[in-house]
This record gives sequence, C-alpha cells and structure tokens, in this order.
Amino acid sequence: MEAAGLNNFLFYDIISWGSLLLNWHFLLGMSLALLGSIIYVVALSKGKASIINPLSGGASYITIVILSYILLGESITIPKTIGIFIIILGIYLLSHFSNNKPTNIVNNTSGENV
Amino acid sequence: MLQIPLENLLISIIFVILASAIFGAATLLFKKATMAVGEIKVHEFKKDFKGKVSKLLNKYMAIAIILQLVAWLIFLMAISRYQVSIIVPVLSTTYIFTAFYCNRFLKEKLSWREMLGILIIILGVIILTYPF
Repeated sequence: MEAAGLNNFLFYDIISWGSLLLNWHFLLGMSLALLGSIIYVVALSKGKASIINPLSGGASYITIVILSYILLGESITIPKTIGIFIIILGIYLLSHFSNNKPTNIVNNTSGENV
Repeated sequence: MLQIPLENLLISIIFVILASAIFGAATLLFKKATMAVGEIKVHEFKKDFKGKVSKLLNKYMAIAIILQLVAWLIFLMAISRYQVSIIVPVLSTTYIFTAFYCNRFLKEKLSWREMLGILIIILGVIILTYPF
C-alpha cells in the first residue's frame, strides 16, 4: 500500500471497488466479521447484555490498537488510551438492556424471565 | 510509517460518523424485522425453521442488510484515509445513534444513566481524535 494510493479511494471509482472485492484481505476480513458477530450473538444468549456489550466493544478497540501497532506501524499514544477507556465507560453506562423489559415480545406465552 | 495529511482526519471522521448513523438505522430496522417473530428461541426455530425464517426475512430485513452494506463501504472509505486505531473507536458513536433512534421510533425511554453514557462517549471521542 502506498501513501498516494490512499487518496484515490473514492465513491465513484469503480475500479478500486472492483479490485477491493477481489482482494483476499477484504474477503478474509468480512468473513472474520461474520464469525465475530455469530460468536457475539452466542455470548448474548448466555449472559447479561449490559456487560457483554461494553466488553465486546472495548475488547475490539483494544485489539485494533494493538494489532495496528504491530502490523501497520501506528503509534500508541496516551490520548488514544485514555479516550478508549472513557468510551468503554460510556458504553457501559449506555447499556441498559438488563434493567428494562425488551419490547420485542409479541406473543409472550411462557412469561419467563431470560 | 505513512505520512498522512491532517485534513484526512476530518474527512474520515465525517465518513465514520455517517457510517455510524447508517449502522444505527440498520440496527433499528433489524429490531423491527425481529418484531415479526417475537423472541428468537432456538427450540422454536428447530420445530419450524422455514416458517420462522420466512417471517424473519421481511422488507425491514432487506432494507437493513442493504444499509449495513452501504455503511461498511463508507467505513472502508474512512479507514483508507487515516489511522485505523483512531477511526475504529469513533465507530462507538453507533451506540449514541441507536439510542437516539430507539428513543425516537420505538418509544424506548432514555434514563439519566444513558444520557451520562452518551456524554462520556462524546468526551472520549473528542479526546481520542484531538490532533495536537
């Protein structure tokens, strides 16, 4: 990847979109994202969403920072670290699913609490 | 180490926040799609798989999948322009957009705890992306 090529990645550039679809990095990344979302749903069915949601978000951000340091040569700075931990705290406060009843119960026959 | 110009930061943050807004809308539509089935339970799906899945694949699901694809492409445009380790945590604004849409369209109430969470996420994003 060269620095000049970064700026040429545009919406109307059909050739770059086409080459993206043939790129094995892209296909591997998409399949890993699919695998991750399946595992996330399995985890959601086993525990409290208000814990799992910030944990998965925070773990993915920390993984991204470490992997981009190793593989892409990006720097780990203090504002980056502080910002990520503050964001994880915010996600934890925003995750309210365990307190409220979900609204998706249309035919609630059993009435059990999950 | 790539020399990335600083004006790319602004463009990629605009792109990633746009992607977050679309991701949030897609989440809302996924929720609407699952409302046709009710609570998704594995043993019910084992009994009547075809019927349940055909109920689940409604128009909301179709729009949501298309929106999710568009959001992925906009997200790729964002990370092609700046450092991944800064842009990906900004994707957490998705939670804010989801909370806003759910408050607006599904009448889910926001408590003071969630308001505080939204403010703290915005603070974290500002600290993370402040370039100096």
